[in-house]
Amino acid sequence: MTVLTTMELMTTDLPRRRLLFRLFAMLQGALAFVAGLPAVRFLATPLTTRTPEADWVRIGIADDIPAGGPVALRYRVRLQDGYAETWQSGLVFVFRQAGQLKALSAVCTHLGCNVDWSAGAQRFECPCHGGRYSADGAVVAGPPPRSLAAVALKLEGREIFIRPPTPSSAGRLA
Amino acid sequence: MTGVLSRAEERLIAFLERLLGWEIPPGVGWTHTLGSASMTALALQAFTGFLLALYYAPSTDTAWESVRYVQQQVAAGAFVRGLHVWGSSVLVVLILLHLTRVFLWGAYKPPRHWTWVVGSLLFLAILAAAFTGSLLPWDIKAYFATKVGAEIAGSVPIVGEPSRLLLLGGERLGNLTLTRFYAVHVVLLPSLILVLVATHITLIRRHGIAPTWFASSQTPPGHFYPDHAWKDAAAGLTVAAILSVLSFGFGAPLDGKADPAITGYVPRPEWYFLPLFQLLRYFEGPFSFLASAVFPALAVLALLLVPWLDRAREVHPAKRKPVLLLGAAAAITMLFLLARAVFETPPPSPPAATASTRPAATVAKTAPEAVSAERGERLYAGLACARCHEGAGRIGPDFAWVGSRLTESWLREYLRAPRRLRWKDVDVRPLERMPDFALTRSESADLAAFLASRQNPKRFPPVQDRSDDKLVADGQRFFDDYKCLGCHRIEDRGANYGPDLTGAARKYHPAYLQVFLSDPDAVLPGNPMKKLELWPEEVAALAAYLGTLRTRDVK
Repeated sequence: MTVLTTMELMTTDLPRRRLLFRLFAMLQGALAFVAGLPAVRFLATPLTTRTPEADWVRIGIADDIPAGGPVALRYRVRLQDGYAETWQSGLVFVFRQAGQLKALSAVCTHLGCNVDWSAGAQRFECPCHGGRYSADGAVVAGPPPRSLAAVALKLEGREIFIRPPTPSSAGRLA
Repeated sequence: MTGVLSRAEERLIAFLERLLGWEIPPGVGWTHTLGSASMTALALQAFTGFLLALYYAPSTDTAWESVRYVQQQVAAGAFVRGLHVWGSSVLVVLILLHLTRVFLWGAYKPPRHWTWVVGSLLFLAILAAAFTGSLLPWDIKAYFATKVGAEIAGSVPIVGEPSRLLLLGGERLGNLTLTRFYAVHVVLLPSLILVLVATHITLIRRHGIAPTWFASSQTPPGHFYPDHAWKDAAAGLTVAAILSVLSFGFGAPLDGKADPAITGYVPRPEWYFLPLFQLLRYFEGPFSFLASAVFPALAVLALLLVPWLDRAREVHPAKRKPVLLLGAAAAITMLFLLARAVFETPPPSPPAATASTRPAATVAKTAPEAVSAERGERLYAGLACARCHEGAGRIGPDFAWVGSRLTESWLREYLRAPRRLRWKDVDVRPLERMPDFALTRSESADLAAFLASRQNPKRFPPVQDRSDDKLVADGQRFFDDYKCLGCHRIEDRGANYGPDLTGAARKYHPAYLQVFLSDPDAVLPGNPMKKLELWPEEVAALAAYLGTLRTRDVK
């Protein structure tokens, strides 16, 4: 749109109704811009705010993990959730593989339900949309796009510590 | 007097005829009440929603608690919430029926094509309101249904992840998700719905109700008021009656509080989202976004574009067979997916405290304030107590035989307000502390009754009370000799390392104390209490002494 100078405004031969329309549209546009810019920034906050990583958390004792199938262990961790620090819980499966302890996130990589270990079928099964994973977390059947996410695990003496994955980012963990 | 009244009535009639007396074509009848019945249901949603908002507090620490407060403490709270929850289902049914009627009648054809588009947008806005509203109770079902919904958004390539973040307000479902779903549910969508309803009605008024193909042209046209308005009123009243019956008869479910760590829970969304839920099962791996994004988008587009997909002028069904067949195919697909979802998905886990989520009146009639171990068992399942208190992975005391250990009255008080019991709860393992489930008085009584029933009489055989003054005196002497106060506390004496023994008699069963004192590690493996190698007489004396520690102030 051509912005008119005062001089042009006085000398222009544009009909009055078009002149007034341009004035009206410019003012409204400016108003929308002034009001909209902070609103867009305000609304985009979640895109730029990063969730703090959880610290190592103790979840159990190595002696409790049998050589057989995985054991479901719940953890609770104090995390910043927006304006407040709250308790957040999650679930990991801990198992032994070639003598080493390994941990898998229980969050199905399809749409984020928690999988369950089926001792009969020796695989993880998601109750929501039928995702199936092998004992080491690889996809066997169903819709999941990725293996169950591996969770960092360390031993301090007999105590098992894990680093809680960001809970809701189902499969988007590395 | 009658003169005044009848004159007033006459003026009111004249006013209504002037205000609502527009012409309607012949053939307008009961099927045309579905739209206004939807509007009645919508108005009820607005009103009951306002009532619920008076109590609702959107945060992870208060949302579930405030909803339960409405269910249990607010007069008619369960009924009002039942109206609101069932209202969404009834509203969706009415809109679907209304939409089907308009489709069959061919009433979406020009000049009424924009009325159809606005109506479809209204339907989508209402589904969005249902989705945002379903998170607000913050129970297990709400949590996982929303999580799946957000992941569906996130599965779309490129724009998926940003839209998931914007939907949730952050990486994970939490405080910020609740506030934004609340804001969208009570401010944004209602305003949008109001504008769309106004536009829908304005368009209906401008173009008039579509003529029907079956009414003969000889029939004279009627007037909305009085010929049709009373039918609308009757339909609205029927809707209100059905809702009241549903709310009073079935109540509104409230599962246990949201718990991201629960397994084996099948979150079944509201029935109107089930076709989509089922579709998600049929597409694997990289194709799953077809089911989560592409097909739903195509379905929405097809709905909006119905007037452009069927451009012929005829409204008679016999002349629109291909269109009607397509519509029937769409409906059958939806119903098929819905049926498959219902049959393939087991009903969700038993909700916590089903009985108490019914309207208070129905509960009161059957069991006035009676303690019920059965209700307690449901609560036990709903709160997932077993996750911490049973099996190898447990982190709290073993509940398999808790009734042999702790008295029902102590459990009842403790469950009402769990508190730190040991030094290790203070510093060492704060992550594993007993959470406060904010149980009501009757819930903690139910749960305590259930826990008290879990006994192991073989391991903790009942003992007869043979405590005499001498035995108690001996016990007190042993208590001092063994320096029990080095770890334990009684009243204001002693230390904080072990459990506080003030009022121990009200907390522990004598049978348990006998077995425990003989070999603490055998009863509670890994517990720091020393095995004192006591003689049976010493055990009996100590148990007898502890049995005298009755204080009002139970610790």
